[in-house]
Amino acid sequence: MSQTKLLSRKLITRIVFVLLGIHSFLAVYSTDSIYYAVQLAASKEPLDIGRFSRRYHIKESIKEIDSEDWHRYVIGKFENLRTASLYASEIESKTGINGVFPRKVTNKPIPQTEIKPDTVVKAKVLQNDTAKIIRNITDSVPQEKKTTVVPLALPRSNTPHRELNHLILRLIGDKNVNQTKNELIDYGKNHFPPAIRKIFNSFIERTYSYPIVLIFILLIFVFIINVSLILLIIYNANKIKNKKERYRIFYKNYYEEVLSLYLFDINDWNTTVTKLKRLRKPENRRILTSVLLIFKENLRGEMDAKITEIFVRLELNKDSLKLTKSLFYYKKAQGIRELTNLDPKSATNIINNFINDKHYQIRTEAQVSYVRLHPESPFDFLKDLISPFSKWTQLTAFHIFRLHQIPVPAFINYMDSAQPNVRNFCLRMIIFFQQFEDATEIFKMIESKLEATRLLAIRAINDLRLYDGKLLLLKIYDSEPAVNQIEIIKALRNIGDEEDIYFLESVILSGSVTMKVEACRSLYYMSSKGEEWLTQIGQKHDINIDLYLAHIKDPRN
Amino acid sequence: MERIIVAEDNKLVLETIFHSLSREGYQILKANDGKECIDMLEKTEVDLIITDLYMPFINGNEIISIVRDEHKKNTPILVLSAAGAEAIVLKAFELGADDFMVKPFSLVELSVRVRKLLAARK
Repeated sequence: MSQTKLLSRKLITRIVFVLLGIHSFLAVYSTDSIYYAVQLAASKEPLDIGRFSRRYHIKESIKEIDSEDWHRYVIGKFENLRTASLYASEIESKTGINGVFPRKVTNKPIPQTEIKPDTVVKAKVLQNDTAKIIRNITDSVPQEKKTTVVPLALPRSNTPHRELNHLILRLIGDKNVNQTKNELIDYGKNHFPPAIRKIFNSFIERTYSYPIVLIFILLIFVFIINVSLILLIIYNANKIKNKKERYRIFYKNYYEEVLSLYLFDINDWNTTVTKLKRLRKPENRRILTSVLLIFKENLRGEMDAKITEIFVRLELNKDSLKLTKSLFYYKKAQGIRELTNLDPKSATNIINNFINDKHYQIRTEAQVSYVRLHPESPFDFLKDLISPFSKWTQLTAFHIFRLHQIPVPAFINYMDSAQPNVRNFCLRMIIFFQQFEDATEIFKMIESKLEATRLLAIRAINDLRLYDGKLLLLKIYDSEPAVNQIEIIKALRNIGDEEDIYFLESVILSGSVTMKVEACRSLYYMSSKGEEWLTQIGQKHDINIDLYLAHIKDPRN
Repeated sequence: MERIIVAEDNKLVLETIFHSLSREGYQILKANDGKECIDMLEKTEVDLIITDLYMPFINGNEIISIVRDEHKKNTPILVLSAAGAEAIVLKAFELGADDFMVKPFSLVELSVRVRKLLAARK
């Protein structure tokens, strides 16, 4: 991974350098003046220009240009190569100097090919045939050493992209390019299987065989294409989505209107069916079902039967049944919900299959539906429940239970469920609805292995004022965790009596601060003599009981 | 003919109430949101206001406050809402609502309540 990161970082650096290179290259070439001149001679050592002019009878001024340790002597200034070439021929015939040729001159030195420092430098023919001859001008040079002057100098390649590529390579360094290439090949060797490695290597080789500029242009082009494609996809997706939404809203409003007229007996069934257009399309059938669901959510009573009638007569219930057989959990849940609301009969037949479904959402939907579909025994499914009865289901079921004003069942009947959360739910419901049917079942829960169940059982004994449970609570007190102990102390406030003073006194002496406060509170509210008892305990054990009393009496607590 | 204004942002419920109460001989004014309802109330006298609680621009409770405190009118107000929590119902009554119905509601029940509120006004 780190190697990949390193490589990608190097590539990014390379791209930045190349872009900077292109920029600087363009900057140089755009600002410098370029013209053509005729090169007369070139030498490692400077020539005596005056002597040279006299010898060859040259009246025009000879200009010296320097590049890479060479002294070049040019004459004239031309806008294009052709005129310079003509002038070169003229000079050659007039002066008799061999090897005169036209060349490009810039204010900055033109990048050149590598030159071997030697006394004899081979001439190289560049650009056109004008420079053909290697010429010896030893006699015109004052140096002792015989020097062969070579008309040299333009870059070795003459195609524009190669020239640019060459320049960029010079800027970023040939070595670095090869190094990256080798690193990429090494990476392939270490990370890819032979088959892929072969493709990878050929890709790298090919990539590095092309001029870098072209690769970057290609990359930019691919990037632009990608961005354009993404924008096109987003635009089209949005367009399709909006079109679908408009279609849905249009038909929703339309179906609402048509169904309203039927529900209020303004139109008969046949007229309604005729007006319900495009009902063969699955999408429209879904819209119609959603409209019926909205009706059902807002209206009850006499409209119920009519809404179900529409749902069944249009065979929309078959669509919902199909949904319950779908592989997708959300479709199954949707089907269950639709059938429960709009065709309770069909829903009753299938709902038991989903009560213990593996999927949490389906199970929840089915359990909530069961509550709604069985108003006479809404929680009978608890007896057969094998899967956990989650808190969310409990909450939703409870909400439905209250919203639809379903008669409250005796929750004590489900206390023998194998699921601990069913027992806990039942205890909560017993407390909420103050059900006194059978206290022994609640007392049994005091012996539960689960701390949460025991806590709920203690709360039930307290809230339902089950005085018979007091001894049981005192018996388990020492073995209970702090949370349950505090709950037991709190319970004594309601179910305790004078006999419990010693127990509460011991808590005040040895318990934690919370326990002490709760013990004082229980004693205080247990009887009208509570405050008196507390004062006596304070005096007996030299405790500042007034502090606790002030805390208890404070309405904020 | 008694005039009733119904403020409800759910078009389906609005149309249903419109059809149901129109059949009983009431003149129904439809308002799609709270602002529209207040605008109509400023221009027209009505015998009963039926309003949803949660609506765009001005909600049901604000309508009750405006009618009672700014317009100083004792027009009966029936609140119709899916939110039936005790605190919400009590708040509506404190502001001056005369009746409260929780959705889903029965149209027959609505009709009976409307009749009673109008009779009490007389």
